[in-house]
Amino acid sequence: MKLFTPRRTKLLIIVAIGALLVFLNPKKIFNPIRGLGAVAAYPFEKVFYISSEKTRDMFSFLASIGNLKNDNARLLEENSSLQAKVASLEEQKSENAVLRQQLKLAPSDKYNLAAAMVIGQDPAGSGSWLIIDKGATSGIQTGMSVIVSDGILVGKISEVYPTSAKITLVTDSGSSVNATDLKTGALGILRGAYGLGLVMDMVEQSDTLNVGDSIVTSGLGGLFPKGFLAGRIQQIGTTPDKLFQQAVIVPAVRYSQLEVVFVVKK
Amino acid sequence: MLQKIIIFLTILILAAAQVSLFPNLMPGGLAPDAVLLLVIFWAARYRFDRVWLRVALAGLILDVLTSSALGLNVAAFAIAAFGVGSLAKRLKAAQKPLATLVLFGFVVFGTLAYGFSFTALAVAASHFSGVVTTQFSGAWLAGLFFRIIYNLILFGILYWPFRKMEIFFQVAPTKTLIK
Repeated sequence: MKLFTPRRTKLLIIVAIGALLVFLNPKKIFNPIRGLGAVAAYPFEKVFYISSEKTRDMFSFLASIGNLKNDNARLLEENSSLQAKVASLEEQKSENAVLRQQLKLAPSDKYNLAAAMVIGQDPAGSGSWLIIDKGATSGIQTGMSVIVSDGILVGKISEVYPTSAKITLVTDSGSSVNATDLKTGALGILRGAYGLGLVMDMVEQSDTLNVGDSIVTSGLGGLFPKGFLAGRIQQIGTTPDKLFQQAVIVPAVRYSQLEVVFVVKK
Repeated sequence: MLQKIIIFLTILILAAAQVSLFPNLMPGGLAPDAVLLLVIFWAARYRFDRVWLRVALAGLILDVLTSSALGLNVAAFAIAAFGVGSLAKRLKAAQKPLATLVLFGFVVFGTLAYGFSFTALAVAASHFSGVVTTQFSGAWLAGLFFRIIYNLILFGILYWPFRKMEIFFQVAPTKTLIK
């Protein structure tokens, strides 16, 4: 039997070229090709993402028709009770601003934010990255933080193309963010758990962590501004070597459902 | 030339759909591998040495659009296409009455071959770059299972348009049909 048939030779060539490209990749020498690809695919991606949003909304609407009557009655009831609550919330709003300042959370009006629409995401469902419809022409740069309303952390701009940019999510396995427990001040490093969520690592044994506590960025290292909410503690444990505490964090937002994000430009 | 443009556009549109359309419609954000289905379609019908350049182009475009390490999908698609092609050569002639069923079998086989080869290459690449982006795990296996289901459904939908497109635009490779 002939070992190197034309088919096998071609398979070997293609796999060898593929492997060679993979190993040359970390040097980022193919970024211009990626840029071209991103520009060519941009109109398709935008149209597909918008139409998929509309389709999803339409299906949710159709599914909800049967419940509309009951919902209406419930909403009327809720409306009257909410009106009463609005009055008390107005008072709490000013109190909240003071507390926000005391807790050193990021005030939403402190940053120059650029709104961007999500037009693509990791098809493997691993919560690794998103693509937005703003790029270098809109002043987006690598390393900028990305949040959603109320200062909830999404990730960081990792690649920028003329009209689009890639966000590496905090849940990406390569991501690490300096974080702190808002209530106790315990410091640690937030890492992505292969798209399954977040883990807060390297928390000293002497520090206190409580289930349900909010975890925010600490601002250490300067990669992310201080005070962006990442999630809440779901479970607390220790590292296998028992040197540090470790906490499982439930992200504050579902990254696969995001439509609009804000890039922190300054 | 027009044929080449049609092939390029078809791959580009399928890749864009894989990144921007399907994750939003499928539960859990997991999307079917639309480009892989086109590769399986070609591999099941034509000899590998006739479609290998198309397969490489499909991998390259998907690598660019999914921000994977360039070359990962090129190699994984080639392995999947070669496997499906070899299987098609042996099975298709003997199983004429069950041709449709066999085609869906190719989708299962192709998805498995692609899933394993892609992840194995990604794990090897991550050791080289120092950034672990993927690994074989229970969640990965569950993801692969759902992708097989999604791919089977999508292949059922896309098979007819693929055939029609091939006839209409005359983009079939020459003298290559597997007998």
